Amino acid sequence: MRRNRKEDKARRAGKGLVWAVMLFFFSAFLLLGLRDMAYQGFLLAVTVPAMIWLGSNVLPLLFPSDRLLLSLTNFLCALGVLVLYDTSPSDAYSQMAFYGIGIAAMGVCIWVVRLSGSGRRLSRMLIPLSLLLLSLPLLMGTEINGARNWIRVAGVSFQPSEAVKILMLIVLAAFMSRRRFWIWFPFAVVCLGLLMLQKDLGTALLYYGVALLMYFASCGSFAVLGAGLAGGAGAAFLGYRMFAHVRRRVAVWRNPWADYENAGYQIAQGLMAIASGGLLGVGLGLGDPTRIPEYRNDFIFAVICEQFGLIFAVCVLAMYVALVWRGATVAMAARRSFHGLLAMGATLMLGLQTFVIIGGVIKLIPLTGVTLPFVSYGGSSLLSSMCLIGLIQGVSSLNEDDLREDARLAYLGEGAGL
Amino acid sequence: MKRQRIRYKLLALLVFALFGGLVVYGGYTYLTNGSRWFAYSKNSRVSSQKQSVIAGDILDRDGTVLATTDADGARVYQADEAARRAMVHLLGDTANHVANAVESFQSSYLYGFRATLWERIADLRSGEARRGDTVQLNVSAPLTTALSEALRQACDPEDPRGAAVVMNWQTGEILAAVSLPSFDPNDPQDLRGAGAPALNRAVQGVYSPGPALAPVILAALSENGESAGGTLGDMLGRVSAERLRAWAERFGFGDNFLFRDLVVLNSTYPAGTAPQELSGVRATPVHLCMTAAAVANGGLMMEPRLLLRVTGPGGAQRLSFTAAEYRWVMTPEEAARVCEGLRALTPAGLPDGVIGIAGPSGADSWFLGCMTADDMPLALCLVAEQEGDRDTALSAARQIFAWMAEREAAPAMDIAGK
Repeated sequence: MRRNRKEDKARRAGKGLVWAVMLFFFSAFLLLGLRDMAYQGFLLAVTVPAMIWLGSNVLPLLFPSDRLLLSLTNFLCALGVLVLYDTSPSDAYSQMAFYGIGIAAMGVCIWVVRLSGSGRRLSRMLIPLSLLLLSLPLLMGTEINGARNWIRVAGVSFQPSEAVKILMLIVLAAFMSRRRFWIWFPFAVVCLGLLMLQKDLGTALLYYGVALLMYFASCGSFAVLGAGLAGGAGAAFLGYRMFAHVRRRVAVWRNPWADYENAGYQIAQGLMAIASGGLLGVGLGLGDPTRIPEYRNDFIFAVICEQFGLIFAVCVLAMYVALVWRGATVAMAARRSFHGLLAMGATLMLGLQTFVIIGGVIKLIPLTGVTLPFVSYGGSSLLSSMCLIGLIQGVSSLNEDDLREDARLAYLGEGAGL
Repeated sequence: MKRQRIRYKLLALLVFALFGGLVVYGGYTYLTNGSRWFAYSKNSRVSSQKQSVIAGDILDRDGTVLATTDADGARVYQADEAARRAMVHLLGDTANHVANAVESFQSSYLYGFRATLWERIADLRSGEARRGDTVQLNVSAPLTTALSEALRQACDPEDPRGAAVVMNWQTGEILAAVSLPSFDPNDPQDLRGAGAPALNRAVQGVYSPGPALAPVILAALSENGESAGGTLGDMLGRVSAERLRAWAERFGFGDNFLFRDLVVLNSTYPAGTAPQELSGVRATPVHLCMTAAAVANGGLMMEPRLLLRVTGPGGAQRLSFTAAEYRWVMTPEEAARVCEGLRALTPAGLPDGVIGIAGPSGADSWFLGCMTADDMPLALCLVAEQEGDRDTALSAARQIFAWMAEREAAPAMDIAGK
């Protein structure tokens, strides 16, 4: 009884949160609509809250779901659409479309996890598929911002490394849970090598970090973790000594103002945007965020800081913290090692990616070209982030199934005792 | 599985720690550098705000209007040309030729970026153009004009070059700071003159300090209770390179100066500098003034402060003067010994209670000293870029001390009444 009351209370609180989030976005889009007197703003004032409602309520009808995780995901996705609508309206519409597709993709991932069992068969298929996908940019890719990591198929551009994130996590979780070092390790090395060849250093850093931490989670060896971190630091140092573009990037990180007009322009503009926003921001629709060259992608966090202020930005960061906390909770509740590693891997991927890009924007670490999960513009990025949540939700739904089964067995046991 | 769960928890904590690092670093860097990023001359947000906000007034410590905005929206400086020229490096100009002067570095106040939400709403309701905040400086306009004139008279009349700073050694208030050559903010043609007129040498000019390094040398010598007799050159022969460098660092050489009100270039003391070969040492006049001030203040170095108060258009006080300690450089006993050493080096012809040193360093002539009386706690650093004997800077120092002695209401004395 007590548990039911608690659950009811949590559910009511969750519903209240969803309505509060919907109201926030309704008023924000309405404000932008009134500013421009454009019907698109009014349309989004209705469709975005509707999408949040659907995203928060439809999936739980199909699978047992973690509602807090869903609410956080929906808030961050809607925030991305809001910032994009203010700065680049046409991109907001496509982001909105990908948001809808992402909810469906999340459902597919939940379904895949529920059917994957131990992941053995699935992962065997995914290894060649991952390698093929990662090779495509080298064969037919286009170079954007120095990295050759995009391909264009049937008029649609996408980043295969975003899709391989999901596939790699499933492969690593499946083989690490069964201690098949000589399968997952060469696979991870080849993936990293292909990313290095594409000069996609940010994604390579993520893959490396997540693979290392997942291995630590599976084997628990601090020595391996230490060696991995030392190896990563050594590789970074070698990269710095060997590649001029890495040295340039580090120099810009250390002092972007020294080359303000060229290499330092983006970081300097980002810092000016953050400083201009102050604690409370200049206000939605105000400021000059489009001065930052990558305001839609890598630097969308600086736009949030400028318009909404540092206090709001810290709240956004707290949402990612809550997301990591929920993901880790799901991983800890998993009954099977594969599922635990899968949920933890997805959580680490989202957490590290958020750290790497925000750290780059505020100049804590050198900037690497990754996106802010759920918020940055880009179909590939949004879909892969939603799929990562789908993996966590899939494990969460299995955990819920296990709990229900436990309750059923306990009930039957009590009945048998009568 | 139990151990694996503990490792998941550890990994989650690791990600939380990374996020905590983002918040701590972001907060720290915003607090220490935010005003510098905001005030960068290329920040388009400030220039666009200038179109819609009437810039606030700038006053000196006695309430004299140094800069205001007329009915046509044009910036108006003092009517007296000599006063205008004397103040221009501190105040700046509308085109931001002078880097990090009040007009640009305090633009967040002057252009209303710090206005509260209620003030902005009230402005919207009134329908009137918004006004920026009034910024009152610690600087005394008459003293600044007199200092500029004294320095000019001591320099080559055809090509006067140099800088001077007067600060209150008890509170760190900057009472005057001048740089030559100067220019008239009302006449941009003036900027074409020789000697980089837009450069504020008081805070951005790095000089080889020569005799102005006396506080450091005397402190290094007095550490072991050695006597400070003889000339400065003799004393340098009795102090080791390591000890001298260590004391230079205690006095702030090598620090990254991140003062709230001023952008001051860092002073450098290269490693391996021999006491007899100090030409590689570089410092700004304001930093050297701080070293003398620390000695007079019993070893406590104060942060230089330029702002006395900032008031919103409706009378709301945004900032009022508070003295800030920079660091304890030495104990009061050590400071007393350095004072004695400095007294022995003080040239003749200065008013009673003034201690200091004068002399040449390469092509520059220096005076560094202070009035030790508690009711006239003033420190003066003066450099004239002109070869000659020590009297070049000394004559200007004599003139300005006489000017201050004539006026019993010295600017440093009436701070309590402000």
